[in-house]
Amino acid sequence: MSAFYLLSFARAQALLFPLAVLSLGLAAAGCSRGEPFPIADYRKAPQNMGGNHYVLEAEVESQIKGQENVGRFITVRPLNDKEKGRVAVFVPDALGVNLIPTQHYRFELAVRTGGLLYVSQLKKI
Amino acid sequence: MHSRAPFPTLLLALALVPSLAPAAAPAGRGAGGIFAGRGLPGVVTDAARNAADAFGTAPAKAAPDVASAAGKAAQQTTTNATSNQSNSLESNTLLTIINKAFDTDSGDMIDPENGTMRWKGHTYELGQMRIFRSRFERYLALTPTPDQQQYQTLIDQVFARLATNNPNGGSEENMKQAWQLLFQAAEFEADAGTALDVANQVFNTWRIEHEKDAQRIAQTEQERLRDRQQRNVAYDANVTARETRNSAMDATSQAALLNPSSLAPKGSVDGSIDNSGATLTGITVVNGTTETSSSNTSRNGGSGGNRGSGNRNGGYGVNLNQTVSSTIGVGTQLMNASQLVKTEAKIAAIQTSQALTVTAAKVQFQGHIISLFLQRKFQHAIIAAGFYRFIFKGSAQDLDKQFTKTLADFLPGGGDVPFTVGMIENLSREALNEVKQGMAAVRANFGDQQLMAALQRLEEAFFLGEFLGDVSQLEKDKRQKLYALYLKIDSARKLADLKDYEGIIKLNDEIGGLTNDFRSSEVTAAAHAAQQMSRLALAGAKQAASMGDFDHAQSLLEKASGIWPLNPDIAAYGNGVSANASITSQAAVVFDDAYQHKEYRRIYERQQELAVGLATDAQRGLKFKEVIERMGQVELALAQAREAVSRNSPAVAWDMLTVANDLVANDNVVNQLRAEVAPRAADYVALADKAQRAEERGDDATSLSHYLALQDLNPTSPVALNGIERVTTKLLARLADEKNSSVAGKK
Repeated sequence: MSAFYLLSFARAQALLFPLAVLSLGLAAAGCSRGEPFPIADYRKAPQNMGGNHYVLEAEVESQIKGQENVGRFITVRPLNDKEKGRVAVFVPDALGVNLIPTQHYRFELAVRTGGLLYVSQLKKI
Repeated sequence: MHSRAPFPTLLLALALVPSLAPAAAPAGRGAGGIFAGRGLPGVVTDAARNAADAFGTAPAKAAPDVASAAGKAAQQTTTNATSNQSNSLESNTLLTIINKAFDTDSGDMIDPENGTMRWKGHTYELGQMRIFRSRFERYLALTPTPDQQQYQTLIDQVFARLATNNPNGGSEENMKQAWQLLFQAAEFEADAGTALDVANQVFNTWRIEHEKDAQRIAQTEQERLRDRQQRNVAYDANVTARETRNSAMDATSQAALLNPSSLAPKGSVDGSIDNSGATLTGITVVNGTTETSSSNTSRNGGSGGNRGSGNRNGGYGVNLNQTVSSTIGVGTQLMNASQLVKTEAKIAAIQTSQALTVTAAKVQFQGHIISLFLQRKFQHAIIAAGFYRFIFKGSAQDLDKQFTKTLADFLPGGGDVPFTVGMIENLSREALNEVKQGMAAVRANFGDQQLMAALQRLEEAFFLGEFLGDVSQLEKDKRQKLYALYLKIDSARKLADLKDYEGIIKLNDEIGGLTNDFRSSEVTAAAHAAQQMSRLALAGAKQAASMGDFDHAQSLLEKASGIWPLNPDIAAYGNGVSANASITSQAAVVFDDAYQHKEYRRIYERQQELAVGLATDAQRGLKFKEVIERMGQVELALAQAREAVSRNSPAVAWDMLTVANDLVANDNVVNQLRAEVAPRAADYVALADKAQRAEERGDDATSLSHYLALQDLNPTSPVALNGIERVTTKLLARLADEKNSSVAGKK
């Protein structure tokens, strides 16, 4: 009886592990929230995008202002030539990244109340 | 000699220079000669250091040269313009220069303060200087009378008859002629009756002399009577003595006949015989004269009667204890003696009276001579002294002791030498000579066109020899020219008292045209220096006032006014100050109204006017300063906006206008330009408007996005930059709050 349970647990593990790995891989790729950030729309009506999540590949231009233990605002310029202009995003200190102008990053953005672009994750590209 | 009082308080007191100090000046004017003598109020300034004494008050000792004065003045001007020193701006030096220039009396003749004149150590009382000055002015104004020469000829004739070198000098005839000439001289106006006084004095003396002669006759008569009385008394004594002796001898003889032993004691007689000097031969010696008794006998023959014994010396007579019978009674003898005593008393009285009369005449005459000398009527003093010399004997030439004090005061240092009539005469002659030389100098200076010197010499000669022909005979044309000069100098001095330097300069030029020896350049320079001092002091006052130091400004203004009261700039400044006071009150109203309505541009546009008006208002002054500074920034932004418009950068222009609008809302100039620029920068304006409205709504993230977009259009936009700064600050604060709230919730 116990051997049966042990065999069943082993089989179940064998089946669940690949599923978990697959799920994490998909999540990491942002497949579900990887929609490109529409800069033109955002500029017209930022507050209309509240609650959305986007991915923005952009170049770090300059730092506007920051506050220790809170985060900082930086301006980024999209790498996509179709999108012109700059946007300001907030990078929380919790991400623990070093941002240097001219570096390229993929930012995962959450549009908060009032249109604040909150960087949830970022990866250097 | 001039004894000038220190200067007032404060020409200027004008406190042009420390040395220019209305030292002060409250001071009496010391003055110089005919152009001085008036009292001073004190300037220094002094003063005037009041330069009232500008002409004739400053001590001559304190008179450096002009260059020194100018240097000091310039130096002090600089100092006074920036500092509030107590130094008077009055210049003793300046005043001294002016004083000396207008003072014709450089000698030591006149002391107007004391109303005296000193001449060769002798002091004359001139009485009130004002009266004396008026006499001099009258002298200059009048024409010499034609009979002056005749009068002087008469006086000269009197001199000649009284001269000691005249062979007949002192003769009765000469004296009489001289005396008669005095009556002729007295008829002239120039004599003023003085010759008559002398003549009367001489006549009086002569009368006294005649009285003396009458007394001398009376005395002689009395002496003769006394001699007769003396002889009578002597006769009485001799007779008495002889009869007594005879009686004694008879008695002795009789006694000897009757009783020879009793001869000796009873026949003794008092030694009166020896004392009386009587002799048995009938000769009597009286007072050194010898007369025979026969004459006495005949003279006394009528006396008869019962004569008694006794005489004035007590040495006559007989021993009354002895029974003696005399042909002259005792009563007769006493009466003769008494008459003799009375006569002696009369003679003594006559002698005393004579002595007193002579002394009185001498003293009276001497007093008259001295009086003439003190009145500066030297010719008459000489004439009187001439009469005196011949009337009184040589031993009576010393002046009476009662005049010693008067003369000792009059002639300092002369107390050790006995004063004589001759001394007064010599001094008078010296004065005549002095006046003669002075008038010669007047004419010489006149010939050289040196009228200042001529006027000075004439002043001296006039004060000494006012009544002398040399002075009174000065020609009419010379008098007129000197009088014109005198009047101008007097006017200049009065202008100097008033510190009317413009008038002084003008008159100074006129005086310079009249004479060659007037230091017009010095006076002009000094007057200009004073004017400059006043101007600089006024400039200092204005500067101090502009800096808000009103006390100092007032002090300097007072100094400027003290130096030159008629300075036209001071009047103009005074009017300005008055207007300023009006501006001050008006400025407060204007400023308050504009500030209340935030019409800062109105304040800005009237800033100069309001700056003066609000200079003393500390509270409004701060607000005013703030408004001006803010409006200055607005104007700068406007200028940049206009520049951007000209460069076809409407976005930049709009930004500048936005900055200006933030500094001063509703400024019409800013609004006007914004209206012009807005159509040309519509997108930018719209974006900026969105950003601003989002910020106002609290949509900071949206506002941040708009500001960034705005910055993209105008990277230098201060609106965008400031907006980004503001909204990011607020966003960070909100995020910090969220984080803190989250952490708190987890706990």
